[in-house]
Amino acid sequence: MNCKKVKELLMTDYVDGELRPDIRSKIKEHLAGCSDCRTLEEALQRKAVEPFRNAQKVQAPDIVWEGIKDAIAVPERAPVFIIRRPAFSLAAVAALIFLTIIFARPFFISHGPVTEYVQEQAEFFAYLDTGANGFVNGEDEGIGTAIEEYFL
Amino acid sequence: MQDISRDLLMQASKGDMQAFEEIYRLASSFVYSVALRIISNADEAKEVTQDVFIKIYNNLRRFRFRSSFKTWVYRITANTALNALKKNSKEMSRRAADYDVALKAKDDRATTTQAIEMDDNKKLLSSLLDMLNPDQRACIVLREIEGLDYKEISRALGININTVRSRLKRAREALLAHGKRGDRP
Ligand SMILES: [Zn+2]
Repeated sequence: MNCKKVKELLMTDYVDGELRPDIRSKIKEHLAGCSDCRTLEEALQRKAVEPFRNAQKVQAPDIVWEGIKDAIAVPERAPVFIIRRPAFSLAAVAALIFLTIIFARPFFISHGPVTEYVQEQAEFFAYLDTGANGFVNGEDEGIGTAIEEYFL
Repeated sequence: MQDISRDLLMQASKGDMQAFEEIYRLASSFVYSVALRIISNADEAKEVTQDVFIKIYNNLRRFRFRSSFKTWVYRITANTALNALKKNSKEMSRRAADYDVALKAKDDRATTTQAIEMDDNKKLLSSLLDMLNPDQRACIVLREIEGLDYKEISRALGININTVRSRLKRAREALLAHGKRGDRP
């Protein structure tokens, strides 16, 4: 194996442990007899590999989970009424009338807490629509283009 | 990232918040660490982490176990963090000036206390990552810090293995080239 090929593999598969054992031994043999490639290997370890080995996992601050909980506490869909027994149908009708009144209020009162609530919800759903599937493509090699395969 | 059982995912996908919190507990350190290393900004890393878990929550019902959950999380995390970084273009034009100081600090660390050593490591790490463009950075973070292999990186970033290889090579060339200035005569 020549120096060019060895150097190429040193920079990638060799330091990343991706080589087949037989090719790895060939490189080790070459390194034993070639000071030029050995110098590269040492520099690579010292400057580009070892510094990252000290990196530690970081715990996310508690505030992150609080934010997630708040964001997902908002119901995604309108509640569905399932009437199982006739005895409940009256209550369901009453609830429907009540909700109709509540949600009809914004059409009569222009600035009330309900209006604000509905607006907030509308904005939130608009945000979800753009954010929830925001797998924006990278400019090359199409990062995220195959994301659909995970959703189907 | 730790393994997450299918049962736990099923429960969470049915809206069980306790199950979802458990998933968060198992995966959040991976997501936050990767975001922090890629973006180098704690506030934005927090935002990215929130974003990632909201995406996971909203799409969990559609996750059909055809791929591994881990790969899916790697992918959402890498995409979200990279998008945040690319949006924030000023992060991309960081100078290499800190590098010499940081590398020297690393060499001298034998004489420093544990606390300073940690601090130097952090500084060295972020100055090294600042040498790289966002795509190289993502590859290095997933490879060196999270220990993903080429196949896992290629799936996480949606690129082929040869692209993973060439980005790592270019990243290391950049690290070596700048490192030369850190050498003592
Ligand atoms: Zn050689």
